[in-house]
Amino acid sequence: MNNINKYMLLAVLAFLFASSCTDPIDVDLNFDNAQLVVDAWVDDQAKDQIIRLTLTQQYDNSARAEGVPGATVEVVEGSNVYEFVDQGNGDYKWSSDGTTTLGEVGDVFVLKINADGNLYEGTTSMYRVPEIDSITTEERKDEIGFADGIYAQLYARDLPGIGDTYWARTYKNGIFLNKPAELFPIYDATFSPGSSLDGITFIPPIRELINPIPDAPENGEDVPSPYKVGDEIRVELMSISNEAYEFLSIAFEQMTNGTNTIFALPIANTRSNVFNIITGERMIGFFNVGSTSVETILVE
Amino acid sequence: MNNCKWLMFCLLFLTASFGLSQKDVTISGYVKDASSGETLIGATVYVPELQLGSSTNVYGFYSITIPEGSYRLEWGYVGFSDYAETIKLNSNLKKDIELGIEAAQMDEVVIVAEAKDKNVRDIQMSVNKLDIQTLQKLPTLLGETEVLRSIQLLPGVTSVGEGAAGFNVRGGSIDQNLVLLDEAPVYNSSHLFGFFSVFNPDAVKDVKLYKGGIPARYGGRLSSILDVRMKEGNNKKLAVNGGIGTIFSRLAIEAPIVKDKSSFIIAGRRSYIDWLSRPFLSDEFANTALNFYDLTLKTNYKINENNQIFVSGYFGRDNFRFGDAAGFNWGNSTATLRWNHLFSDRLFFNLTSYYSNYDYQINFGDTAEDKFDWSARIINYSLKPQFSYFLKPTNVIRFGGQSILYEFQPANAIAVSNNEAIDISLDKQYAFESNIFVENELDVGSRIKLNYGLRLSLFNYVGKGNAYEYGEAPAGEVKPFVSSTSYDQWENIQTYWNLEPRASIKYQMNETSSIKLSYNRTAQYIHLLSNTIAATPVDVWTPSTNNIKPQLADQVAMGFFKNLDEDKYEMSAEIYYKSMDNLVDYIDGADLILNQFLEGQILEGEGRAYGLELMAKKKEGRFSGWLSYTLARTERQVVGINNNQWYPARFDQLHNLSVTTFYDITNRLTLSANFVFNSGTPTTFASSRFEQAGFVIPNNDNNARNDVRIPNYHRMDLSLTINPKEKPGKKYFGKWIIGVYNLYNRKNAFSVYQSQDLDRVAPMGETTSEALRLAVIGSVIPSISYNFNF
Repeated sequence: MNNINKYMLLAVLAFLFASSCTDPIDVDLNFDNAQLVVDAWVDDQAKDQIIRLTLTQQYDNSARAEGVPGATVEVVEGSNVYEFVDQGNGDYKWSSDGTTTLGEVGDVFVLKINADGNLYEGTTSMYRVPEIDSITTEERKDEIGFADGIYAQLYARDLPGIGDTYWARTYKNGIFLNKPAELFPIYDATFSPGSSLDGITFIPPIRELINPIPDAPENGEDVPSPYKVGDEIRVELMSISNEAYEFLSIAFEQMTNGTNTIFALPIANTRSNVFNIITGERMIGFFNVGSTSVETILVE
Repeated sequence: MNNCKWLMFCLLFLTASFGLSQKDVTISGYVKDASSGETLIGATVYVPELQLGSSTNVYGFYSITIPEGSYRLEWGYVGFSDYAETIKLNSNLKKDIELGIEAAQMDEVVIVAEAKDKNVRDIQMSVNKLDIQTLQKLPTLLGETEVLRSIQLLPGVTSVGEGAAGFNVRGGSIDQNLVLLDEAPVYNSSHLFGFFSVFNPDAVKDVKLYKGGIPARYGGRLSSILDVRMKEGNNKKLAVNGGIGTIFSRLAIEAPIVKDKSSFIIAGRRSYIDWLSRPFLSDEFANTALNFYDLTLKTNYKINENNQIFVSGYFGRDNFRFGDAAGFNWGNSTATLRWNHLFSDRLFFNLTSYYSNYDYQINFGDTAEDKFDWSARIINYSLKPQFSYFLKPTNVIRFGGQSILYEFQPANAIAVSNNEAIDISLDKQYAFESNIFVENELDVGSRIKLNYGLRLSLFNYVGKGNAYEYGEAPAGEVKPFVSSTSYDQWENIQTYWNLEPRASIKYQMNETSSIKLSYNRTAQYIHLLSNTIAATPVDVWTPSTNNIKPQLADQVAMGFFKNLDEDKYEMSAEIYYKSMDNLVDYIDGADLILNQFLEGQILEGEGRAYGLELMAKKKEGRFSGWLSYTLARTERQVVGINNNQWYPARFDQLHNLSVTTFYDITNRLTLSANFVFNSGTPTTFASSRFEQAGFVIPNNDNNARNDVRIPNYHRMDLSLTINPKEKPGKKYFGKWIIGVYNLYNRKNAFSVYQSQDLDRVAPMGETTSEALRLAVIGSVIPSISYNFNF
C-alpha cells in the first residue's frame, strides 16, 4: 500500500513545495567494475523468447548496456531442454514455430548459463494468471489530477487464494510503456502483500495504470491525452513468482524514489534468483517464466 | 517481581525518614506573576542568613523548611523585581508571592527566566529551556513563532532537513522524543509535515528539553523529553493576544472566571493559504481544501489553599481535499486533568490523568462502486500520581507512578472495487505500560548535590488480537510467517520490564563554576514505523510485541558550567556517550502500511551516539544571544544492512553550529539574526545501473548504506521587531515583525537523489540518469506579521 499513500502525499507536496527546486549536481560514484546481468523474463506465448546477458555500467553513463555474447544459455523443464541461441549481441533466442511454447502452468524451470567459465543457475515455476475481462476506455474532462482526454482501464479479477502475483505490460501502438512509473507489479488485486485483499477485481489505481504517463508539456501546451481514437492498446497480464514481485517492487521503488522528495526511501538493491553455482553469490537480474493473458483493443 | 519489592522497600525507607527535624518550620506557597497571576516555574526563594534556597516546581510551588526564627526571605525570578520580607517563623506558614515585572525591562527579553546562576547551581545538566519571549524574537520561516524549529538552535538537536517532521536529540530518532503538552504525549508534533509545530505560542508558557541526565520521574522514550507547559490564563484581568501572519492568524483570550481563584485561556490558529489562493484556482479545484488549525484551552480552579485543579485540552487538524475524489487529514487531540494537592506544607501531590489521540483519514473515490476509506489511530489513557516531599531545603524526595493504556488501530480500511466491498482492516492492538519511580535530590555539604533514582517500568502487550510467529530468514530478508495464536481481550501476550537507574551529581568548584556528571538508562516500549527520510503523517506507531523488543539506551554525560561577569555570560561544555539497543529497522523494500505481516520485515539493530556540545550565552544588555556548537556522531549497526557493518544514521551531522543574536537598536526596535551551519547528512547513491525487462534499474554495488554526504547546510535569517510605544494608560499594543528567511538565497540540499529521464525514451534508446539536488526552500522568503495584545 506504499503506493497509495505515496500518491496522496505527493499531491499534498505539490501544493507545498512551491518554493522547492531541484537541479543536477555532480557526485562521486563508487563504481568499480562491470558485472554480468541476466535479463530473463520469458513467457508462455507462442513466439520467440529472448534472454539477454549484459553488463552493469556506471550510473551516470547513459549508453545502452553492453551485451555479453559467447555464453551458452538454456532453460530446462523436466526432460525438455530449451536452447537459447547466441545472437552475437548479448541476446539469446529460443524460436517458436508459432505453436510451441515454454511449458505450462505448474512446470518448474531451471535457467542454466555458462559464461566466461562461470556457471549460473536459477529456478522458478510458471504460475497461474487470470483472464483479462476487458479493457475499457472513457473520456474525462475537468477532473483534478487528470488532463482532459481518453483514459483506459484494465478489468481483471484476481484468482482466489492469497499470494498471486502478476505484472501487466502495456503496449501503446506496439510500443512498450517503460517509464519507471509505468512498471507496476500486482499482488492479488492490489499493490502489495499483507492487505488480505483477495479474489476481487483489480482495484482502481491498478486498473488505471495502463495509461501512459505523459511527458512534461512544452511551454504553454496542454498535457496530452493518454490515448486517442485509433490507438491500439495491448495489455499482457503475466504471472510472476513472489520473488519476481519483490524484485519488481524494489525496482519500481528505486527508479521512482526521487519523486518521493522528503519521503524518499533508503537505497535498496533488487534481489536476483539466479546464482553463481560455484561461489553461491547472487547475480544481478532475474529469471521468470510467466503464463499470460493478452487483450488488444482499438480505441473508438 | 523481586525488583518491585525492592523498590517498595526503598520507598518505605525514604518515607520513614520523613519528619525527623522537630523544631523546623516550613514556609511554602506559590510564586506568581503579579500582572497575570500566572505561576512562575523555577522562581527562587532564598534565605541569605542560612545560605539556603529552593525554587518553584512546574506548578509554581515552593516549600522550604528551616529552623524556627526570624529571617529575611528573598523571592526572585529573572526579569521580575525581587521581593524580600523579614518574617518571624515560629510555625508553618503559607506565603504566596506575586512578583512584578521590572520597570526597566517592560516587555523586554529575558533569555533565561530562571535564577541567574541556575546554569551553574542546578543539578540538572543536558537541559535547555526556552521561554516564550525569546521564541517570539527569533527569526523564523514566514514569521511564525515556532517551538520545534527553535529548539533546533540548541546544542545536540538536529533534524534531517527543512520540512521534516520531528527532531533528533543526541543521535536519537524522532520517535525517541517524548513530546508532552501539559503532560499528555503528542504523537505527531507537526502541522504541514514538519514546517510548523502544533504548539500555539500564545498558549505556551514554558518549554524544557531534557537531553540527558533524565530524572527518574520522566521516562518512556530513549532520547529526550520535551516538556511543554501551557499558560493557565490570566486570573487578574481579561487579556487578548493575537496575530496576523503569512500563514496563520491567531487569537488567544484569557481571563479570570473568579478573580485570583479561577481563570481560563483559549487560543486558536488557522492557516489560510486555501482562502487566499481560491480566487486563483480553476473550477476543477472548487472543492479543494488545504488548511490546518488548532485550538488550545485550559482552565484552572483553586478550590482552597490546598487544592487546585487544572483542565487543559488541545485539538488540531491538517486537512487536505482534492475535489470529491480524494481527501487526507490528520491531527492530535489531548485532554489533561490535574489535581494539585498539599498533604502538608512539605508534601506536594499532583495527580494527572490524560487522554491522547493521533489519527489520520484517507479516502479516495467519489463513486460508490469504487472507493477506498482508510484510517489509523493511536489512543491512550493514563493516570499518573506524583509526590514531592520537601524534606529539607537541601533534600527533596519525589516518588510516584504511572499507568498507561494504549490502543493501536494500525488500519481501519475498506476497499470497494467494482461494487465489491472488502474490509482490509488490521487487528487492533492493546498494551499497558506502567512504572513506579523514586528520586532523591539532596545536597551533601555545600559543594555536592546529588539526584539519584530508580524507575521500574513494565509493559504488557495484551489481547484481544493475534500474536504471530515467524521463522528464520537470511539477514535482511522477509521472515516467513509460521503460525498465529489468538488471544482474548486483556489476555497477556508478552511482558517486558526494565529497571532504569538514573543519577546525577554536581560538584560546585566555586561561586561561578561547577562540574556535573550523569547517567541514565531509558526504555521505550512503543515505536514509530517509518523508513522514509522524513517521517510522514501516515506512519503508524506499534507496541513492543512478541516480535518487537523494547528499545533500550544508556547514556553518560559530563559537563562543565561556568558563568562570567556576574552571571551575564553563561557557558557550558558537555560530552556524552549513548548506546542504544533493539532499535527498529526494516528490510529492503519493506511495506509498513496495511501489512498484517509487518513484523516479519523488521530488523533489530544497535546504535551509538557521542559528542561534544558547547554553548555560550550572553543574557543581558542591548546585545544578547547565544552560540551553540555540537560535534557529534551517531551510528547504527543492523544485521542485514550495510554488510552488517556500522554506518552513520541518516541524521548524523559532524558539525552543527548556530549563532542567535538580538540587538536592541532602540527601546522599540530589536534586530534578531541567526546563522546555522550543519555538516551534510549522509545518503546512499546507486553506483551502477543495469537493464532489465525494458527498464533501467539502479544498483548499489557495495550494498552500502549512508556512505556519501550531501552538501553542507548553511543559512542566515533576520528579523526586525517593532514594539509599540509605551504610554501611561495605554491599553492596546501592536507589534510588527518583519523577517527574511534564507537571507542569502542558498539552495540548501534537503537530499541528493538519483533519477532517470522523465520523458519517454524511444525503444532501445539511451536513457540519461543523473544526481539531482532537492532544495525544499529554494529562495529567499520574506515575511511580515502583526501581533497585538490588550
